Amino acid sequence: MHQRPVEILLVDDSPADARLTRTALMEGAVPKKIHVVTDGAQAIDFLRRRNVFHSVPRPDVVLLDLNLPKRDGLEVLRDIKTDPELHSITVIILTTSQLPEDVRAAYELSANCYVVKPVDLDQFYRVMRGIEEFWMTLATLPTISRDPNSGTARDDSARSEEPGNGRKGSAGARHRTAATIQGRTRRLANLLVRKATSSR
Amino acid sequence: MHLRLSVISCSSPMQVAAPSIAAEILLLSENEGEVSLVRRAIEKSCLNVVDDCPAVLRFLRREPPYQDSPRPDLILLDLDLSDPDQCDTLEQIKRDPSFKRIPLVVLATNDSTRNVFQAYDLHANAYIAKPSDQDSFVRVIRATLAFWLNLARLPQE
Repeated sequence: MHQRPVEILLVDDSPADARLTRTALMEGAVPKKIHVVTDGAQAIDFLRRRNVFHSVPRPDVVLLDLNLPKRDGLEVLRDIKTDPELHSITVIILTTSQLPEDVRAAYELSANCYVVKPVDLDQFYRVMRGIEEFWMTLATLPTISRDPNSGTARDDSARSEEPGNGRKGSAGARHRTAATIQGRTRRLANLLVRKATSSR
Repeated sequence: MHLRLSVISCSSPMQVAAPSIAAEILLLSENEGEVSLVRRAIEKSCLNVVDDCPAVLRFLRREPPYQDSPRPDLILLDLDLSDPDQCDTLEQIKRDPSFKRIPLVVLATNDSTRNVFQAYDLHANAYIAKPSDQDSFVRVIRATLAFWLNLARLPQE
């Protein structure tokens, strides 16, 4: 068990998806702090503690979407896994892409695992619980122990939920974007139904 | 190896269901008792067992006597990473372009912070400290297989 909260960096350009992931993770019993960034360049700045991220903690786990503005998830993964300072950080690819070439490329670049984000909300919650159970309960993460009062002053400083980062990309990427949007809409609809039912 | 989101039906790893997908698993363990416990935890999957580090590499490379070995979907290595030879085996697997993509979980016999870092530095996908009692061991193996076979997406060849 961890002495301090598990520090999680969530890299997801969709504010709605990030909120949902955060909510699902926070339902789990393991104490955790979740930091959110919305593009690949910010993810790298966070990990290298550059600019506004100069006093953020080192994440224990990175939950990395693949389809990101500025630098895509595979580029971020490559940066992490080829940097001797960062490469021991656990990177979980969490994406809607089911393309075998994405799965293959992620493992090729030493992703710790690849998880497909389910569209169905209950499935999504179950998957997030599975991630918590395996990675934060069962497995031992390479945790650098440090003073719990240091380095956390800017927790959540990375959160920015403004949409519209000028996504560019190939036809394949646009196709995946469309699939993501569709997925989000369905998940949000599910969430609303769930909230409405549970508040009765 | 499709259809992976077939659910971990549990609320904690201690109540995990056995994985429901058939997969080829390569296990390195020299402890016969543990091998039979792993066999108990595995239902539909096929368990391939080797009992030393050189045999892991021979199995993966299909060298004699493993010419007909299947390509594993998941590798479980019972390793003591304070032993340089065992570290070397992990490193060789994860450097080999043919096998590096196969998810590899270290079941650590000699658990220390240094070994945890070493495992992840050498690109083990995950590190698990082996519990000492039998029931916990079986539950850990079940939960590990349930995560990797039912929930994670594995690379196809």
